[in-house]
Amino acid sequence: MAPPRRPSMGRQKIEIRRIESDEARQVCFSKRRAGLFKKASELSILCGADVAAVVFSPAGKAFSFGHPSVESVVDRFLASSTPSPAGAGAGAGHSSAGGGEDRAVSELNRQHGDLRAQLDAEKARQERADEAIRKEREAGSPAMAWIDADLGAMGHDDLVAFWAALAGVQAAVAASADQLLRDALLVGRRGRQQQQPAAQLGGGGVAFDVGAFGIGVQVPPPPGFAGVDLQGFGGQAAAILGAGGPS
Amino acid sequence: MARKKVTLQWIANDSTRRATFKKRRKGLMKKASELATLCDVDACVVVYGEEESQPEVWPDVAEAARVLARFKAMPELDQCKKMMDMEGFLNQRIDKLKEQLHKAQRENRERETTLLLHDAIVGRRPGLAGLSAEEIAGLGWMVENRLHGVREAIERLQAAADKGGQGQQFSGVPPTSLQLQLPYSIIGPAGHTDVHHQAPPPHPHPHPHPQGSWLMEVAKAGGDLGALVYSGFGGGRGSVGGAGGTSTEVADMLPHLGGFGAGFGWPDPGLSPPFPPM
Repeated sequence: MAPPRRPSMGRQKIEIRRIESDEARQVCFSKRRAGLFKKASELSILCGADVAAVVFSPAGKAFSFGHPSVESVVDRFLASSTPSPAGAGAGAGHSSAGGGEDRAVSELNRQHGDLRAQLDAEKARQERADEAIRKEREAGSPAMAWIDADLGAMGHDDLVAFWAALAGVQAAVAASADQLLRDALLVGRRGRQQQQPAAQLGGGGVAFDVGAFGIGVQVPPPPGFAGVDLQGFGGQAAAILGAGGPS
Repeated sequence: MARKKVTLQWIANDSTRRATFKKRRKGLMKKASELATLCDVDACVVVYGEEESQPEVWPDVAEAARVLARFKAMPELDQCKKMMDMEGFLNQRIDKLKEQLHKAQRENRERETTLLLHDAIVGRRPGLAGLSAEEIAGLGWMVENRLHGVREAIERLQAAADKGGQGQQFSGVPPTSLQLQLPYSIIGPAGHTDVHHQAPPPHPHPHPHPQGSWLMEVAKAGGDLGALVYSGFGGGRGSVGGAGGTSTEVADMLPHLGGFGAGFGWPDPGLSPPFPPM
């Protein structure tokens, strides 16, 4: 019955027959029990049915799922399976109106749906990123080769070139971070939004900050000046970032 | 073969709901049958449709009654221990989905940062314009980690080359690289010491680092970024820090970072022209 075994170990049809290995049987039980309960829950949700599923594990433990509850459905069944007419009548009497869905269950269903949608969005995002990475690899980009490579297997020249490239990016990151912090300071200090602070305004802000920290303002070389800015921005940036946290 | 994803809510259309009920009920019975056969266990399923007084039962009424009697005969605790209702079941699935979602988000952030790093290296994002603070922080951390790895790899190669013999190394190195070798050899011992000395404090290895405080480190120029970027004036900044009454710890760190950065920083102007062609 089983088709010829494929080279890959993907999903395969299996014979519906007792599994010999105890371990495999236990694993199969866990997986299929979860699947059974999932199907039962979906049937209840979609069609308003009352369901009870009870299974005993190979070790003899009882697992059960029920809607509205295991007890209510099981008791109803056991009562109705008694041949007495009174029991049958009671069973009929207790028949649920159907369609009425518990509010809490509805809310949980909505949450479940939302999370599933978000997860689908993340998977789509992953595929787009993987596609972009694959394109760079196929284009033979040396930078992507560096990023993918095992550093231990790289030659000295490649390592030095990669190091230089990374150092360049690091400098750009530091410059961008510095700019972001300046913008944040200007916004915080002036109490209003500014798209692109003018160079003069920025300069004024910087001078003020330096003065506020009690550092004598002289005319150092540009890198040294930038260093002073970083020092000065520390406290203010902490305040701004801290204030930003709660909101 | 393509199907639309089923919305998990009560089906309002009567005939559709009834058809779905029949189909899914049969499928549920089949699932129970397979489980019982494969695992050689007792199982039963009882389904009451809306407005039905007689349930559909698997395997049959008598067998189900026997299984349920066994279930009822168990102590109350054992019955309830593994019992689930709809809310419990849905909560379980929601928790599982949340976990999967967080994992996927984390992995995607890393992938996208890798792409950003690549774009930055090949020069597609001049000045890193248009990036958010989070993207810049993530990129900064990735660059720092990669630089650390590359440094270690270079040091390993250099150590191996030293063991092989100086003459051999020099004869094998092309002129361009020979120029680069000098700075390393000059700062070799000092650099090595610096690396060991600085290893614990400036490189917190737990990767999930709060990105806000990373920006703080950049701002305070306490991290590698500041040192490397302004390495040419490390000494000057040290004195400025002292004049400003900066904390002793930071003041102590600056000279070390500056010294280390100076060794690597100086070749930068020389490095950038020749390497892009390679």
